[in-house]
Amino acid sequence: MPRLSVWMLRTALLALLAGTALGAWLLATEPRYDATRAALRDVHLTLLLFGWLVQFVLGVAYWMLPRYASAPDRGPPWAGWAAYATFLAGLGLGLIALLLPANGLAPAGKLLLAGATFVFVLLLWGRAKPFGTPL
Amino acid sequence: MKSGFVCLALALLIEALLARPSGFLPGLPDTALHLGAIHLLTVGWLLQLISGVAFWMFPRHPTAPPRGNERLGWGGFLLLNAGLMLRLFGEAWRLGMGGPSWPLVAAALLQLVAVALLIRLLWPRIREIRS
Repeated sequence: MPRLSVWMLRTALLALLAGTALGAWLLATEPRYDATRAALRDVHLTLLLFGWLVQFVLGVAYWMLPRYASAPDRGPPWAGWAAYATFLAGLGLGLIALLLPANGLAPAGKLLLAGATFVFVLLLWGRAKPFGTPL
Repeated sequence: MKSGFVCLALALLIEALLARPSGFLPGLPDTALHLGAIHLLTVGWLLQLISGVAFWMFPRHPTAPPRGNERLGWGGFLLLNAGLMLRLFGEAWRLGMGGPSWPLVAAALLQLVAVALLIRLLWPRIREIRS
């Protein structure tokens, strides 16, 4: 498993734990409803959808998809690391924007998340090939 | 993996139930059913499928047992599914018939402990292997 996947998968598991803990607290303290709870529910969703699911799937795909015959066999490593850092920055900004909704960080966070995911898709695109096709 | 697919089927059945004609089973709380179906899909199916595949395919330990302590995995599996079912019935009970909140508190705790056990099981198997 490449080091980038190790970092992505472990970060994803931490997001899973944080998102589950927040979801458990929200479930256990029902039926209270207020604006803070609505924001925390969105934080729960963001942590589990982007922090856990998307990041875990991308990390496993980066590890397991067929590799190129010549080095760098998973594409340029700097691009993967840059995308990982950008993804985390976007996730962090998105979470801050949910908790402090008037700060205008939400578009920047979403843009960073989308950009990072696009770079990962580019990295993975050439490695998704039918069996027997040369890479 | 198999219980993940059962959760998927159950979630789709519940979603079909939400499209029932008005007047048919009017006592069923749609909000609880919808929330239950979403969690059956995301926790019961996706999380369970991903955890099952990860337990199978992640790099194995060089020493026995190669996949780590399986009792952690079984514990996580049982607690996760117990928590999911308790949530499904507890939320329908509370929203549909004014039932108590304790099943939801228990469901939350069960699922949180289950996730912690699964992470404890998988964490050491996420490691760098040079190839």
